[in-house]
Amino acid sequence: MSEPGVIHRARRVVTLDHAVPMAEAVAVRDGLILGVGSVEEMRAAWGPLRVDDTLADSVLLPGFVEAHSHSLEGAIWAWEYAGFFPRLGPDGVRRQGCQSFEDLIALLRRLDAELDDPSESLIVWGFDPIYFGSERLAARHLDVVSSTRPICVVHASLHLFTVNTALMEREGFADGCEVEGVPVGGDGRAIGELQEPPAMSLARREMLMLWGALADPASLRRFADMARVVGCTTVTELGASRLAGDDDLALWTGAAADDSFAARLVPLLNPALGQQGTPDEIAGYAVAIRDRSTSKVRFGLVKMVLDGSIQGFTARLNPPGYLPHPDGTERPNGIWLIEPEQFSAWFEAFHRAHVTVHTHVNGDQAVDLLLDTVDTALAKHSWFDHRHTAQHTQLTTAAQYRRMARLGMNANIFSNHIFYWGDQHRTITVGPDRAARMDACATADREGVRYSVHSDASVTPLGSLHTMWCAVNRVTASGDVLGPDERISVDRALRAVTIDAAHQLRMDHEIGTIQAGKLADFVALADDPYDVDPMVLKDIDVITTVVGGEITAS
Amino acid sequence: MLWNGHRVPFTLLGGYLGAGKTTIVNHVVRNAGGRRIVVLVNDVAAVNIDAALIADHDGTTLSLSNGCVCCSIADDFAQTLEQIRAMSEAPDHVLMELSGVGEPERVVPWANTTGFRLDGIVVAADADQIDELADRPFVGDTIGAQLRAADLVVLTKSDLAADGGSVARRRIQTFSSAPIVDVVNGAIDVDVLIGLGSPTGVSGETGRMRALPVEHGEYPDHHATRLIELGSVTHEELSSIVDSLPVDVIRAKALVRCSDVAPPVEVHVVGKRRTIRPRPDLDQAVAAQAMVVITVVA
Repeated sequence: MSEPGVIHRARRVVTLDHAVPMAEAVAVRDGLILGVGSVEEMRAAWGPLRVDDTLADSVLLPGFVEAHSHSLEGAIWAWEYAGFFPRLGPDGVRRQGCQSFEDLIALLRRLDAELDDPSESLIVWGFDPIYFGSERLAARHLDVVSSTRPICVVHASLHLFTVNTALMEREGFADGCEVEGVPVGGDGRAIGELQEPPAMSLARREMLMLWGALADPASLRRFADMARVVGCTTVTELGASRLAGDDDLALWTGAAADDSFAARLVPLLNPALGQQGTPDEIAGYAVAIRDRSTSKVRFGLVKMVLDGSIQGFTARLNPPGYLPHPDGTERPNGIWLIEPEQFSAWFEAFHRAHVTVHTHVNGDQAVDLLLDTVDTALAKHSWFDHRHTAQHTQLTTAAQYRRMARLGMNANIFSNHIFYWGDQHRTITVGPDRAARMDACATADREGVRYSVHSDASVTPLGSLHTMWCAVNRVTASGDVLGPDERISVDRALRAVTIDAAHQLRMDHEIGTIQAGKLADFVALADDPYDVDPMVLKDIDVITTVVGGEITAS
Repeated sequence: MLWNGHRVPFTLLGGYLGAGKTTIVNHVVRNAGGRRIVVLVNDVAAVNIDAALIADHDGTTLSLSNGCVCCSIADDFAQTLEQIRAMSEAPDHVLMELSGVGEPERVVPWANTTGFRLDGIVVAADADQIDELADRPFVGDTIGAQLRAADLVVLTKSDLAADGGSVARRRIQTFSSAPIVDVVNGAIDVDVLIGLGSPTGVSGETGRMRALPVEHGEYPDHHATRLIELGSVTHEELSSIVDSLPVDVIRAKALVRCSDVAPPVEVHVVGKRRTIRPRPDLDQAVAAQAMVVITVVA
């Protein structure tokens, strides 16, 4: 027998449904939306339902959909945050961050005192000293906290650790070693920096702890809690986590089995992560695991990675390529992660099996390879509603967006880059002209490509309001506007993080707007994004979310 | 401390799809000659081993009855290398097959992390394909980067090339001065790829010594193994001997007492990579005043 249902009265319901764009209330039953309208209309249509005024002061919108994130965003919160900017935790508490070495040391002292086992490693993450002046964090700073407990400070880039002497002595490299990326001081001793993953792997026990967290169901719960505090009701894992067998699938469905789990999860299968078999066998598996989906976990999409990152100089660029080094020497092009032949073999098998493929393409040359591959796949096998999606698609040109439109593709644009790395792109990676057309939402609109915008959490923090703010304002960390003609409206940005994100996840019939028959997934905000100054979009308070009709709680 | 501080030699095997890397790996594990070799491959299923030789198979790891182990590198390098470090006894050698677009220079730092030391970079090139590949859209520059990084180039399938591989050799030489070894059906001389024991009989690293001179099998190139007597040398004299080894030396190894340095000094040559380093962890008594070299005679 079904529940009688409830009417949520709000300050305003913004539906993004053109039939009823705005309303007073939304009626919900059994996790689905019964209708949208005034309380009176709902009661006239559906009987004397109870009115819930819990959200009466909030503006209700379709729950935000983050179409490119990683569960590392939840795993990393197994440890404390030590970054420069204040940051919300999955518990809803805002950390003030570390704006000086003194702040970091004070944080470490507090955490050190909280740990009972004297040999347990102390890990903090997100450290970002670029605003601290020229002094570099070193082991000697951390040694004042403890000369016995191993300490590992994970930097914001995730490409650098600073560790203390106790950790280096445990691993036997305090006196230096041959591994590239372990600088030594004037005394020949390692200073405590571990640069890039090979050197970082010297902190063996801490690396094992970080991987262990990825496979911990508690990390997925924190991921969902993090989604809740920033207003996302559906979040994705874009292929950084193996889905190669029953244990891998059960990690997701098991963690999200609880009714109180605060978000829907969409983990994508990456054929390069432990999948055995021919391309057709893997495609068959991608189809078969759709049946393992639950109301909170959806399997069936695929992710592949073609190139690296622009700020890491590993994205594949068309001429003229990267700006030269400061000393004038040429920078080589970036790297491929899959051979074009292997990519097309996998891609065509998924396409034939009607599996939507999301492909990481940061550089414009990688976009060309993707477009050629989609073109060939479509010529061999007709499938109009494929929704194949270019992910990040940061340097995509107007000509490439025109091809993307003709091929029926979607884009998911990495708008957060403009704030976090826009200044560096202008001066160091590609120069002012190409930086001005990076993450070109307005061009995608002009050329007719449907798109979402994303955070790539935890590469940048999860938060659709912040991502919208980036796409709408295109303000860099230094406060400049990068490529003002690529700015988009609040309405366009809001659709990008709701219905258009849902579309590329093949869930637009279920989520992304507030209309009868869809899942009752909402975000409750303190202000209406349409009413505020676009420059304060990111500062709107998230009151709570509603997932499947249930108000989520921390 | 891991393996009492011993560092296992680590070889990177690069080259594009179709260059014959997997065929080479198959040959090496079947002809390991008692060495316990860990091979890291992209797809364990592609390693073609007689069922009789398989001791254990768990999907991503294949343990062979001859002591070799094949592991898949599906996840990241750090995790894969931790799997090896978890072995109670150090293997004799690690051979890592890179992906077809893997750039060896970018992987080199991993080969020097805890428990390992880079032995050399070997790049396979298909005699019939490499000239076209080096110009191919999207991947041409990657092919160039692979060849430039090579210490030793393995030319494969020259028996199938109409010109016997002469165009391929010329093209490879525009990128690299590394010696080129001609290999058919993956049948590489394992001593060349993996290395030799030290010429002492009580080798510091593999504990294995082969009688000299060694008769190598049927290879398209004629390989000759020779012993070079060193006599009494200083560190500087040893360096200059190693530097002046002719280009046809594709492998050399020695553990030498230098008259002016306390610890024994180890010499490793893999193609054009020539490494000399002190081994304070080894006793002078295991050193010998001789170097084994393998030369390729075209």
